[in-house]
Amino acid sequence: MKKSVFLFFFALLPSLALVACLFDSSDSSLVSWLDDQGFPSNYKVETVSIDSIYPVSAAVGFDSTPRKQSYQGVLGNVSGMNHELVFDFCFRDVSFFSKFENTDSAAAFLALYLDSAFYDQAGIADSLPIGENLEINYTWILDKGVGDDYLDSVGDIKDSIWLRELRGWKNAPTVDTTYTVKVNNLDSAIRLDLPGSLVKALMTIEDGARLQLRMSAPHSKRLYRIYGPSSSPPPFMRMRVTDTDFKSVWPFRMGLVSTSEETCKDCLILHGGVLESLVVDIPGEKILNALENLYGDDFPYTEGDSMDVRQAVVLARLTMGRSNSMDGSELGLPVQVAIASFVDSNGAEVQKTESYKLNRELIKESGHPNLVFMEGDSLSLQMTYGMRSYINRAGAGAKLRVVLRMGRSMLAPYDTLYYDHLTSDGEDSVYMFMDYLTYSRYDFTEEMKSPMSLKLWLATKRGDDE
Amino acid sequence: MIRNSLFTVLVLIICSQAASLIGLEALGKSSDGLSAPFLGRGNAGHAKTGDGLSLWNPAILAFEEKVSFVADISYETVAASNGDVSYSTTSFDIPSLMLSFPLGRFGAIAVGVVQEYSSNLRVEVSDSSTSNLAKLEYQGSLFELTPTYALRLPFFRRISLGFTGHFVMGGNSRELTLGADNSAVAEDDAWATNNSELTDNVDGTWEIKNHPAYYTGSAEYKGRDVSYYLSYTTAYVLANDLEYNFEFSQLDTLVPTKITREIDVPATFATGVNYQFLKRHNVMFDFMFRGWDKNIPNLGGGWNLADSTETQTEFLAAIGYQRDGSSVIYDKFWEKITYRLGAWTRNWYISDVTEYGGALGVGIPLGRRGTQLDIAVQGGLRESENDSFWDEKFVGITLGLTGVGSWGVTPRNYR
Repeated sequence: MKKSVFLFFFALLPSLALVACLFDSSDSSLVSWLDDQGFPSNYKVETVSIDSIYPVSAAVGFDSTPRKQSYQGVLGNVSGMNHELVFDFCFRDVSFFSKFENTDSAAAFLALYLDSAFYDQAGIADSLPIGENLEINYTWILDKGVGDDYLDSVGDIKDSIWLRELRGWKNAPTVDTTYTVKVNNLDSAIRLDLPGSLVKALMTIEDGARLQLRMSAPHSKRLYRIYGPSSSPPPFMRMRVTDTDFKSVWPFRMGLVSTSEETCKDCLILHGGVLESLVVDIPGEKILNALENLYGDDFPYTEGDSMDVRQAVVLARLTMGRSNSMDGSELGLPVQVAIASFVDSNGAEVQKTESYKLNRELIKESGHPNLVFMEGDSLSLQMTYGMRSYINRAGAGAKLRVVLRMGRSMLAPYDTLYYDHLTSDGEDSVYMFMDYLTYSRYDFTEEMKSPMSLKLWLATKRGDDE
Repeated sequence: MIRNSLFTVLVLIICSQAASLIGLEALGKSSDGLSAPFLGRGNAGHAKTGDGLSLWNPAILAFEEKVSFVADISYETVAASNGDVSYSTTSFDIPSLMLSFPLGRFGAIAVGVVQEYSSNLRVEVSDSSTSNLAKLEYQGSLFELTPTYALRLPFFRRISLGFTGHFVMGGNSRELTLGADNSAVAEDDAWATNNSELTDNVDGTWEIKNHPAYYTGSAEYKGRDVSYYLSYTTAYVLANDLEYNFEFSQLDTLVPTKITREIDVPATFATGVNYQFLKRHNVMFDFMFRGWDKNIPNLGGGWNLADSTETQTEFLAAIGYQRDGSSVIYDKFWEKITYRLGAWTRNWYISDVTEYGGALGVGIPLGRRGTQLDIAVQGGLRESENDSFWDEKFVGITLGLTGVGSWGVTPRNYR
């Protein structure tokens, strides 16, 4: 057989045949083939609205465990919460304390620097000076020791142990002192003279000491935000023999103790800036009934392993009432309400923060719907993950439960993006949220007693004839 | 010449791939694990010895004289059409890998990995003007690990018996990703599902229910000119453990629901004859029969798909011709090439689906020890009376490489 014949039969002919088979394919023919098989070429969205939903239960949980604050601390009483600062000092200086214990002019003060970056972003820097007669309550524990080993032993105390012990201060010396605080600019320190009884205690130091100094301002008109030990400039304490002979010490850690001042036990008040959450149980039966009416199938799904994958929740939105009062916003800005759901994670129930899909037309008109301290009467929160997990596992006894928390202040509530960005001309920046926590307060008591509504956007695997 | 031919074949491989669009929800396309020599003569020739192992007729292994390794790769292009509309697709398969060891008077053993069924498809439609967005991907391979033993009878050396165990493995999946059609929702509500794709996902694995394997037994008579075989393969139940889920992203899924679909595969009978004449010419005829009597539950179902696929009696009738290549060292290269052709008709296991095909093949020797490159080109039609299945034209090419070792061969027989 000649080469040309070989090539014809075993190369050219198959090539032509293959090329012949490759023509005339298009999207429309594929759609037609999908349709003939019974496949859709997209999923048809259906919506279901369920009104008059009243929570089965709602409860606020507050974690009052003191927290370490390295960069920023807050002091004061605002929005029903009192925030105290605790400084942990440890120092030694034999020669200085030999003079300090014998001087008649001994004195000490604490210097705090306001967090200028926060005040700039919050717009408060423009309204200086700020000032008030501030009553500060000092409590302290002074422990004396000798040598560098003593300092090392204090440094070895773990933060978690120290924070836990902050709850149990008893019989510690306490003194109330009133200062006139006036802040003219954000670069100067606020000087707070320490009470005489504390100075006297400090004069008894011979070598080294550890001072845990706790301060609160239970009647303050505002919350003071100061730089912490890891920021610059940090707070410090200065002990003075004369104007030229003094010793400055810096705290090596700082703690924040927040306590609730709320008196209404039946109220569902949520505070921002602290570890507090509102857990809401939503009645799932109404949702399952609505799905039953839509699809004509039984809900919950109990066949086989009872995991329901007959349909998919593309988005779920919970809408409740909203007060338009600004009381409790702290900074006069709208505050985001964050929502998380309890979802299944490989058999365990875990909290999952919900995603947030933007309804741009609505945002342009009335702002982001997940904000409080805004005009308008409704608060809308997306709970897609929770709803998916609930319907999926309803046959296995799952509950529909969400967690609400107060988030950060929003700086651009009508902006249709949800992250910092440049303006369309590229010449300016839009910052969506404050970089700092907002110590806000919102009372959900009425909202939890009022009817809520739920809207689901659904896709189903069911065929047209089912 | 050989180099040029190989290059041409490689170009074809790059240009083409294909699988059938029929039966993707059932088992897919049956490939029977046939190697290139069998495909080149239209699936016929299972009674012919000396061309490798047939899983329909393991008894021919007893007549193998050399240690050999056979690997095949296969490409196929399919053009499915319904009236004036047609759609083409391609796929790539590795139908078989086999290793056989003759053991002299103790018979011969072999082990293979073969593809029994394949269902591979990846298509995508994206048309913003009609809001169509669909990506469909099937990935399915039912592989078998096939240890084989064959022995020529002590006093009837023309007769051999062979046995193969078929240990099933492999997996299958279907991913259907869809975009949203908001035509049924209010305009104010369309924001919620814009750009929200979701994937209907089915994942599964294969095994045999309540048993590790199923088995084939066969007997071969090798006469001077005529060879016959008869084989029987046991019935078995395929268990396909499936997980159904919706995926919204790779990390955002639901707890899957788990279902096992069971497929009753009936027993298989096969027989065939090979007649050799004028020393190097062979004609052969084979017939395989499998009496399906139960429908096959579908893989994913849902949407508007049927829940099951109807079956029919499956058979394959194949006729083939082969001119063996010369083993005389002084003959021309063309004389040393083995030439094959064949034709077949097959009733698929799926109701109302019939296949007609023809094939050409060559076996090109590569060196003196018996190493060989086999090329098979198959083409044909699949016709269906079922509205769901489009008629198909197909062209495929399979390359098989047979490597021969000299282990256990005495110098006297070495050539």
